[in-house]
Amino acid sequence: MKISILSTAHVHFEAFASAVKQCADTELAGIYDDDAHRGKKKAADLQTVFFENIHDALSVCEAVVVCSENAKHEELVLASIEANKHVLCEKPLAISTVSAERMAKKAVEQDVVLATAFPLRFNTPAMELKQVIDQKLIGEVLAFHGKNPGQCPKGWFIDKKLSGGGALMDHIVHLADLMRWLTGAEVSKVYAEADSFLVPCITIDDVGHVQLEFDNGIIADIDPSWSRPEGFPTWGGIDLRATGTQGAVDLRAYAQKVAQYNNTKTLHHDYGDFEYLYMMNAFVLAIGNQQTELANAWDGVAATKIVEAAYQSAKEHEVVTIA
Amino acid sequence: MKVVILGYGFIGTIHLNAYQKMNDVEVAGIYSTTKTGSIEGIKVYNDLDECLELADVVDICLPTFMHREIFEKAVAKGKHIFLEKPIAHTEEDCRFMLELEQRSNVKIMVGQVLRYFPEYRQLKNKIDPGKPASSLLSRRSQLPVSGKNWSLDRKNSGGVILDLLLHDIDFACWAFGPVTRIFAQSDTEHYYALLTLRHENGSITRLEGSWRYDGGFVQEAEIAQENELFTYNSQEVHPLQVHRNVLTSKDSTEIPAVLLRDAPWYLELREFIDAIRYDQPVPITLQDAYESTRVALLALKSADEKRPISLVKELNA
Repeated sequence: MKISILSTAHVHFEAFASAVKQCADTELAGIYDDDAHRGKKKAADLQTVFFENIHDALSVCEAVVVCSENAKHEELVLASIEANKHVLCEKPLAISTVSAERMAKKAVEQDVVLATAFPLRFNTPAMELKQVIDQKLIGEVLAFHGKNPGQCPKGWFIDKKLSGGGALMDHIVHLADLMRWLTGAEVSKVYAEADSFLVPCITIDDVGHVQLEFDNGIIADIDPSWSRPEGFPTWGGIDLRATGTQGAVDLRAYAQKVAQYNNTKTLHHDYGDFEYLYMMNAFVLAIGNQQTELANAWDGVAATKIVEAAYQSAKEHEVVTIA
Repeated sequence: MKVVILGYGFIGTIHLNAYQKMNDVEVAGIYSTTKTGSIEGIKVYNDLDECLELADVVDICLPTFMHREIFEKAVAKGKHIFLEKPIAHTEEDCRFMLELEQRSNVKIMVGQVLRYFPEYRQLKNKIDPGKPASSLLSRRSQLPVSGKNWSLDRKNSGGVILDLLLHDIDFACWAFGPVTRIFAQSDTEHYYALLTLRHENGSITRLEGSWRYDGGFVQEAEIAQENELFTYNSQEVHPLQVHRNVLTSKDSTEIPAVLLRDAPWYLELREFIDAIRYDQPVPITLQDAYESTRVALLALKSADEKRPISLVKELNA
């Protein structure tokens, strides 16, 4: 299956490109980017074609990966769906619920796959955690404690017009989606505190503390903060503790690392499975109408609702109910 | 100086151990409602008044819901008081005790012992007090089973928020200053809780407290400030671990393993005894401890009412 990547703006571009190249069923058809300078360089690095016009990129593929700035997802996704292409869109699906819903509805109308990139669903330790929960090894889940801290990605991520928001927009959705996937429950209430005081010279939110209640009574929290300084040996991490009636389970989704020290710094090298590859496999299967764990557009909508509620709660200092 | 220990449960045992290292302190008696005879050569009294008569200083280690009554008696008899945390399990009891203190002439100190843990002191000393902080504090253990299981009964102990998480709430108040807004969630038994605190200086502290963790006792802190990150996890800094191939029974109440010449419980009691001896102010007053106890009590209210609580509004109401 030929896949074009639309935009190279997001830091996950390299992961998507390697997944498309590594996956046995996919082939990189080319790259489109509205920043031609950036796009040409990335295309040259990957030895693939660069398209200055999106329609040229769409005409050579069956499916696309959208990897742009958050605020440009809708435009690129809708153009792809109109061209009858299946879409795997970087998270968050959209910067507002109305935008996410427009995209999801359009995909239904055109009968194409619109998937949201939540690679944690394909993270091997997280999949094992799902087994633990499904087999009720810790009894009934009562609570989740989640941490998804990271380094500030800078660039367009700190420009609200392009990102839609800071750390809360960037990092709530991974764990929110993971909790929904693990339990099949929906978030009904959101409380959040947010601020901007960790990264110098930026005004966008870089601190967030979010508490959630699910419709089945599970309580949860998430730390999406950009709290890792530049000297931190890795981009961040995703940790989740599930506490149940008969025990607790600790997930450190990216703990599989070896450390390297030299005279000036410490580096961590991942050795865990490459979940983007398994997500890409699932995307191909989903296009072939097979059942997979891939997050669909409505999962993307649900995660966007949680982010929107978190921003509202942080502003109003009240618990926000999700209808 | 003559000390009597009131209550010989989990914390009474630790305090006795600490006093036994002090040359200038004699533990003259132990009051217990469940034990008789003597403990390490010290007579056990089942009559409170009889035991109080022996003392210059009383150390209240009884269950939280009994604090107010015992405290009142000790103040009436003019005894210096070391009071185990939490001060009390209701706002009303706290205020009653604060009023009694106003009218008394004795030294009263509260055992918010985390302030004597050197790792938490390091964190407090290293953070920049001029800048807001974003923190995660977690404290987890298995379910503690005490003699009468009073600590598991939310009505008597305040559950995991007041009995366990108060340690970290107190640290947060101590390190980041007064709290302005609180949001809390808990399970129905109050064995597990999640809290978010907003402080006057802009800091945000999130806390997890669990009596549902069988992975070994853990206390954990992660504090981020501008361009800085501090992390501490008690399970990652064990300086000595013994691994035996025989079955051993675990204590039901877990405490952090402390490999220090002077344990935090010794340090807090030593400073209290010195404050009496040299007539100096005590390091942690009833009022100091009340600040964080009140936050914990309002967290319970937040969890019950499922809404954030603003302290500014609460004070004006």
